[in-house]
Amino acid sequence: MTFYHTQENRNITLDEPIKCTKNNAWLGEAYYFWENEDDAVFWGIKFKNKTGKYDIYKTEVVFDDILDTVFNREHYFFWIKQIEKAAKYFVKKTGTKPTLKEINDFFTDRGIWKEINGILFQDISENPVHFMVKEFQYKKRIQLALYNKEKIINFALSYSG
Amino acid sequence: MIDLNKLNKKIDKLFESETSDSLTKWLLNKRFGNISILLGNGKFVSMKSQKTPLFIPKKKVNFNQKDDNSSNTPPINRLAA
Repeated sequence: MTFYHTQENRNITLDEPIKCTKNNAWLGEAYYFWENEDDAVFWGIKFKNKTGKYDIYKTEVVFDDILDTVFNREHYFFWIKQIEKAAKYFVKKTGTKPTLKEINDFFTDRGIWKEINGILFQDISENPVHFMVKEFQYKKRIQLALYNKEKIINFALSYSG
Repeated sequence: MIDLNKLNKKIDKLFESETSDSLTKWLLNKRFGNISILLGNGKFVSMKSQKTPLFIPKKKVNFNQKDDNSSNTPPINRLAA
């Protein structure tokens, strides 16, 4: 399956994606990709603009053992159950709520996510181009957090903006 | 293909084996680095602020009360005088 990776343009062409380790990375430390190119471009314009330019890389990802919470009903309900279970345990045993990133990092650290290569996840885009109908955002913004880099093939620069 | 049942059991087992200390230590290290070396182990405690009787003035201050030097002269001129 084809995915897109956005980075700031630093006059270097990447051979592989950069792992996101930021605190606001929803699904923990992983290689993040966009399902739709327009989301990748919007991300570049809006958030990867420190150098004034951004790059979009296109890649194929072998979609094996990906927890697909977007299109797979069974995976989605499994995912919700595990996140809520983890959140309850954290609150009960530590007295504080974890973030989604912390839960995912915890699963990674404890070897749980060894069983999967990544998670497909969605939220709602802020891209005004997506708002083609009044009052309701109907389009999903889909991201892949890939934990296993070996599933990436043909990673290459597609576009500089 | 992901075996969801197997994964579910693995996660259940994981949380059964985690103690309050191990989870708190992991979370503290994640949020603040290896801070548990300084703080030791323990739970997060929600602190409530409490008034101490030592610093509560017995007499309430009345900011509307006129002082003895009150006059029609603005305070800045009174100081100069």
